Amino acid sequence: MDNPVIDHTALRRLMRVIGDDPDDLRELIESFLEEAPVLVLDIEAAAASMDMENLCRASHTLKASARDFGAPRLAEVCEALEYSARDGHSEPAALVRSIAAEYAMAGRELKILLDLGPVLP
Amino acid sequence: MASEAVLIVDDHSTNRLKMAAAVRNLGYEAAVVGGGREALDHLRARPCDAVLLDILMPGMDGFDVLRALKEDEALRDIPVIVVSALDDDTASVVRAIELGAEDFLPKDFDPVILRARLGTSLQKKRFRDQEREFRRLVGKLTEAAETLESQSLRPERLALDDIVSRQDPLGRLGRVFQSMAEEIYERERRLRRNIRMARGSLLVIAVGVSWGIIAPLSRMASGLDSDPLGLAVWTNLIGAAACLGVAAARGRLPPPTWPVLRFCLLWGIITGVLERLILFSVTGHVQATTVALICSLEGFMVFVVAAALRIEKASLRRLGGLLLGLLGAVLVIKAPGTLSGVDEAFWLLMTASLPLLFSIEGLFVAARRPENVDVTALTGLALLASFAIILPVAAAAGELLHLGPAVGRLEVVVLLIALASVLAIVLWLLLVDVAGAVFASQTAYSITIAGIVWSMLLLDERLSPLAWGALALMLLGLYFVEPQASAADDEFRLPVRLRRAKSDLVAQARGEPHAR
Repeated sequence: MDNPVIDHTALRRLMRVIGDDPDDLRELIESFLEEAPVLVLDIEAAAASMDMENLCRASHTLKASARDFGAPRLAEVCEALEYSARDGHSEPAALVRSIAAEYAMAGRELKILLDLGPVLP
Repeated sequence: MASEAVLIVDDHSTNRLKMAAAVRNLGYEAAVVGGGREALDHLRARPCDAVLLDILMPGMDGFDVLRALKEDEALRDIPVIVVSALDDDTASVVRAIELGAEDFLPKDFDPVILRARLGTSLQKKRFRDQEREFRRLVGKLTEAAETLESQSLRPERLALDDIVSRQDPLGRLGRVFQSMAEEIYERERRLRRNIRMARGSLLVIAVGVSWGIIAPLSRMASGLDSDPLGLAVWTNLIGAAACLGVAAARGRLPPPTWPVLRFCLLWGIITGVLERLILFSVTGHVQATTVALICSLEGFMVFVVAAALRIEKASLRRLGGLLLGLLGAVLVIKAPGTLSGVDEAFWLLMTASLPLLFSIEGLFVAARRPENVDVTALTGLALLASFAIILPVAAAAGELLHLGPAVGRLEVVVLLIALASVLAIVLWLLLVDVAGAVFASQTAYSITIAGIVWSMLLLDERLSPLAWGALALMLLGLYFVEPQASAADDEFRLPVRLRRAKSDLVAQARGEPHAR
């Protein structure tokens, strides 16, 4: 697959950064799975109230995390929304829906990885 | 050495977790906070060695945190690395660095880069801390040197422990400095003590010789048909004139303030009136050697008073000394040839009042002598006061001694008594100033011995075996009653000027007889 939902290389890289401890990685992923939905909600709320500043910031944050945890498609959409908000375009709705969708998929994949035991093959 | 601590400031928990893990993986300790305010509180409570600071935070953002840190003197030296997630936002990074950030790190950093950037910042901080500590200790050492120069402090009070315990060149310098200071202090102390002892010893002998001659001289005078009142008038007058003349010549006359005058008046009554009249009276009836022996009782009397008042400790040794002294006194009384007749008891009692008066005088002078007044002038004024008191009494009793114009034996004796007593007083006051009252108490021996020697020389008196025994017991007793040298001897300032202090009252009470 050339555009996977979860990019294992990125996860491996993350694990290297934090010291090659699979338990730490598990903890991190769990934290992401807790935080990310909140971010998605923040994005939706900001979009609804046309709060461009918060929209920019929230999508930026989710983008960075998405990159860390190997969700390139999610990251891409977040980046698009971030720039869009920054540049003042006022049609975030479609992008917001994409983000929600992409996160749903990424989140599911990550949960499967966690359930499979040792996170990385 | 404890590992260095890094504070991670980020409002997202996943980021905090990630950074903390990365930091710990590098071997440092990691602490995490979720916002700017908590970061400042944390740092104030537990300063860290470095901070990884997220710029984009709600509320107090990274820039606010930076500003706050640099304004706080305690925190401004902690290196801050801003973590920037903004891909092309050089402007934010630049702004952060202008606000005082040490470096920046991208959010998706490689651990190698994290290690390099953290490592550099921490090392810089380490160097800054070491340098500051070094400068502080050098300052301390310099201060200690200045202290030694300007005022003499005992070396152990320089408080250089944290310098001398170091294992680096500064520590070595500190140790050398301290041992040199100690050596110089020791040498100085020994030198001062030797000078004091030498000067003091000479003065002790001088005081003994001057005082010792007075009793035999006054016995000679009574043999030449003088009377106590007339003798007292003349000796006081001549003494006052000599002292005041010398003081005036040296420009040391004190201002006639009431405290000075009052002191001289009271002192004059004790020394120039009471002591002199009694001494001149008893030497007409008692052998001079006996007078000398009885006067040595002063040493014991003062000790008794001090022990009773609990100013001094009555150790077994000193009580033993007291007993010896009493034994000696008994022997003196029993010694044949001391005197004969019914008046025996009366005159011995009168003689015994002399040591009592000497003790009182000693306490009085120690407590009340005005500071910074020349001793010669003080003595002169006191003798002048005594002269003024006795003169009318002598005139009324018709006992004014007519001396001169021809200089016969009596005239010479009177002059010698006057000069010897002045010398004895002035030298004794000097002795106390130079060597302290404790050292001065050794005049007990020199006066007793000199008194006996002078009596034997001038009057051909001889001591019976019993009297020799009494002398031996008295001297031994005085030795045991004496207090030990005090540690106060070790306190001195450069230049030395051992100041008489109220502690001399206590020293006097310990039993140091002194010149009259």
